[in-house]
Amino acid sequence: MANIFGLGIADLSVEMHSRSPFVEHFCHDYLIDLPSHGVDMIAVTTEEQVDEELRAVEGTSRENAESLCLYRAIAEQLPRFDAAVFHGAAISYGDRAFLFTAPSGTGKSTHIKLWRKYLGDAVDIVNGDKPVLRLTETGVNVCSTPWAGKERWHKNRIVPLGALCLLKRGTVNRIRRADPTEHVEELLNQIYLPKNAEALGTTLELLDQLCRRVPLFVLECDISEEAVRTAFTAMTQEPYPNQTEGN
Amino acid sequence: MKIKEGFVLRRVMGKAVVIAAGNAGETFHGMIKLNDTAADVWQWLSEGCDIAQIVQKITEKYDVSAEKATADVHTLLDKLRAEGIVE
Repeated sequence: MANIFGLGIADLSVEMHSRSPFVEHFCHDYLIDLPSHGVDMIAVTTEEQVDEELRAVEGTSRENAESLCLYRAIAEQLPRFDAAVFHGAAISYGDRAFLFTAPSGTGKSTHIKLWRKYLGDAVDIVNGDKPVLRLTETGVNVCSTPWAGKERWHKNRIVPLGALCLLKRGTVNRIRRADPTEHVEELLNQIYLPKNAEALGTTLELLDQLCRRVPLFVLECDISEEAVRTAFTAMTQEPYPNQTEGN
Repeated sequence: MKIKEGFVLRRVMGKAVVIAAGNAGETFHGMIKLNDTAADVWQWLSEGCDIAQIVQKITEKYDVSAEKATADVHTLLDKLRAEGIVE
C-alpha cells in the first residue's frame, strides 16, 4: 500500500511515494503539506531497486533500503535545481556552515563531535553525513536532510556555506588553504553523480561553482582541542573563543 | 570512430574532466583529465568529425605540423579505445 507524503528539503517540495510508513516517520522533521500548485519533484522507487540496495548495503533493513532508494531518486533530480547530494559532515557556527569531507571512516563525525565538545551550543550539526548543497545567487547553501548517516545528526536548517574542508587523519594539527584544481578527483568522489548524462554534466558544473565560490582547506588533525582550534581559526577567520566547557 | 554514449566532458576550475553516466558508468569508474588539445579533440569527435578533419582543425588552431597532429590524435584515440571510451 502506497504511503504518499510531502517532504521539504533545500527549499524544494518532494512528493514521496513509499511502501512502508517507516519513511514518513524517518522524514518527520521535514514533512510539508503538498503544495496545491504542484511539487518540484516526485520520488518513487521500485521493488527491484530496493532489492538491489538490500544486497549492496550489508545488514540494512528493507525499510531503510527503501528510504535510501528514495533519497537516490531525489538526488537524480536535484541537478535541475542547481543542487546535489554531498558526502560530508556540516556544522554551523554563527550564521555560516562549515563542511568537512573525507572517505567514510576517516573521522568526520569524530571531528565535528569535537567542535560540539569544545565550542558547545555555539555549534550546531546541520547534517552529519549527506547534506544537499544548492547554489544561490552568489554562494552555496548547505541544506539538511533526514539522511544523516548512522548517528542521524541533523537539524532542519539551510545555512550559507563558509568553507569546505578535506579532512585527513594526522599526528599533528595543521591546515592549509588548498587549490581546488589539485583536488577535483577527491571532490568528485564525495558528490552524488547521477546516472543521467545531462544531470551528470550539471553536477560537474555545480562542482566547478562550488570550487569557485567557497574556499577549500586541507586539514590534518588528531582528536584534541587543538584540532578544533586549528580548523576553527583558519575556516571561520575568527578568534578562537575562550569557552572550553560544554558537552 | 565515436565516443560511446554516457561520457560527459566538463571543465572544473578550467580543467577538462571526463566521467561516465548510466551504463557507461558501470564499466568505467573514475575520471579522465584531458589537456586543452585533447579536450578539443573530444569536442570535435562528439560533433562527428573524422580523424582527417580533426587533424586539420588542430593545425588551424595550434602551431603544429599535420604529422605531429596525426600522431597525437592517434595516441589519444588509442588511449581512449583502451579505456573503452571510444568505439
